[in-house]
Amino acid sequence: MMNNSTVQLLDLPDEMLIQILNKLNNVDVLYSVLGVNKRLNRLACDPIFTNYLDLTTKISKYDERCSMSNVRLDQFCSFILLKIHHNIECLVLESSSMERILLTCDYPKLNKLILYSIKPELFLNYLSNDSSIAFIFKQITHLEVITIEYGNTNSQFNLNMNAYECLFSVCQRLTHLNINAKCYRRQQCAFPSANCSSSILIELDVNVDTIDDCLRLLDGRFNQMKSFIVKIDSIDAPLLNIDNKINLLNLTTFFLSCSQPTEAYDEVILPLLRRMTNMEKLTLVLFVENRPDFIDGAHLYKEILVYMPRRIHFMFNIITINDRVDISYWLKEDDIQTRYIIDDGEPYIYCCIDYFTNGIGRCRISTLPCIQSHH
Amino acid sequence: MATTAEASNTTTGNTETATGKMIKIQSNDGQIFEVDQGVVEQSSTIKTLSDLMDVGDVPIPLPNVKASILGPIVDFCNHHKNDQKPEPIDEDDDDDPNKDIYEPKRSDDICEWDLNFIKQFTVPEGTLFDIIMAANYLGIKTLLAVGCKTIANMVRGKSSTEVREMFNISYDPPGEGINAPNAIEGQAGTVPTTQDANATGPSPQPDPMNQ
Repeated sequence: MMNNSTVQLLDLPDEMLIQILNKLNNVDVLYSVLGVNKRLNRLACDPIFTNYLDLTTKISKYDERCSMSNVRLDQFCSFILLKIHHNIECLVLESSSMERILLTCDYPKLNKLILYSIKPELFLNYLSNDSSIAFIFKQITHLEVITIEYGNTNSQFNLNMNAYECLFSVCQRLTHLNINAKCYRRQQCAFPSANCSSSILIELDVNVDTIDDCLRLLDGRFNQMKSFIVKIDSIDAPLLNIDNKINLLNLTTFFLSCSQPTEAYDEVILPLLRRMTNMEKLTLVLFVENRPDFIDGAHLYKEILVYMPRRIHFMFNIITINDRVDISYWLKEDDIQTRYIIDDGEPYIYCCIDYFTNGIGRCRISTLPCIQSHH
Repeated sequence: MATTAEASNTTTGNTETATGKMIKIQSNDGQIFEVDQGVVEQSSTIKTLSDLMDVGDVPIPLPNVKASILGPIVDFCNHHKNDQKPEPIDEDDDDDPNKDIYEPKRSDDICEWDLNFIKQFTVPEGTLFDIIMAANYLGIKTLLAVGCKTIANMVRGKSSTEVREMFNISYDPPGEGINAPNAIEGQAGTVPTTQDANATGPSPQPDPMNQ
């Protein structure tokens, strides 16, 4: 039989109370613990529980968010935020409550905003001069905007030339920008115009429709950019005459994926990659069709990696399909694992070649993490 | 006089030859438990003591744990001794400075056996805190995580008033108040006292933030 004890919650040392609070999200910690008593207040006000707040509620597996309950929102806006606003560095917000939250108090340390389920029109309004929260956008250095407008093509995120120009005009301290329009059918999501530029942007993560949009972003307008993550809907021959030769000396991280099969690998993608002479972390997710030769390990080495002299962390998932595969290909040894393409301690490379009875050949070469992420 | 409570393991029925050396541990009220290496490996404290001391047949004293807590802990460790060892970076380790702060924290991943195990310890009796403190003292990370998650689950969604009532916390407990270290220096007094709008408990009290 277990004996009763006189031990209570507050008999636990601070380190253990922190361990308990660490099992809760910051918002739960603040909602339930702030105001209980002075000692718990002190713990709850620690920067580890107050520098990052997600004030949204996830409502679907597609990252759609809505406001937290009215009861909670009222509690945060009338009490909690007033106590901890000076510690907040990052806020995760959604459209219906973001204005109220941002106007509740000042946030002197706020440097990162993550905005979910924001309607494009609303987002652009927030950037306008007469917006009550424009001052927030002027102070942040990191901005993530995630919009989801499933199946509603009329209101999908359509950041046109002026919108991006406006964004960089208002967010003058922006160093990290991530705009992901997660929708099934996108309209033009172009990123054009020479006026849209920044000399301090370091990291850019965007979806674009065409290779022209991608090349525009690498035409020197973001000349300090070190990390570029781009998901392209389709890669065809460029329609515009955009320089694809200037070396991208500052760029050290590049992620390229394309939703549709492409035939422009040799014409566009290889020249683009060869501009990245200081590359350190490269990820390619491509489906290349109608190419005379498979893209295999030897190709990756000879055509890409030799142009990137730095030690490189290379992840890829590349499928080549062609119906004119020389049978002599089968006599080649799969030499990828003996080459120094990946040297990060986990050289798990998957290479599979199928030769179908209709004469079509298919080669898939991938690093293991890519395979996992695509399954 | 010490009594011996053999820690039985019905699943393995291990003998000394199957599990290695048996070790005796002794609670602060004199009860002795005999445990095998599978249990010892889960407790960094017992393991360290048994490595440092050539204990032989002498029980290792555990002065911070009483028998009514140590017995269930031995049961817990016996149940988990064949579990797969966690990765070097334990996913439960929320104190890891390299952990992504944007990653949702979890406390809903307690397995059914552990849920039933922890139910025998309660807040009103104080035994839930006993088991947490003992797990911390003995360095049993898995049990400590189960205890912390259990309390976290009790707290989640509750208002501060409900938390105060649940854990019988007064606004100004002994040892707190003006004698406490600077609680939230520089923050208190910056805003007017605000009462918990959702308070359902006692009548308004002084704002502990501004004491």
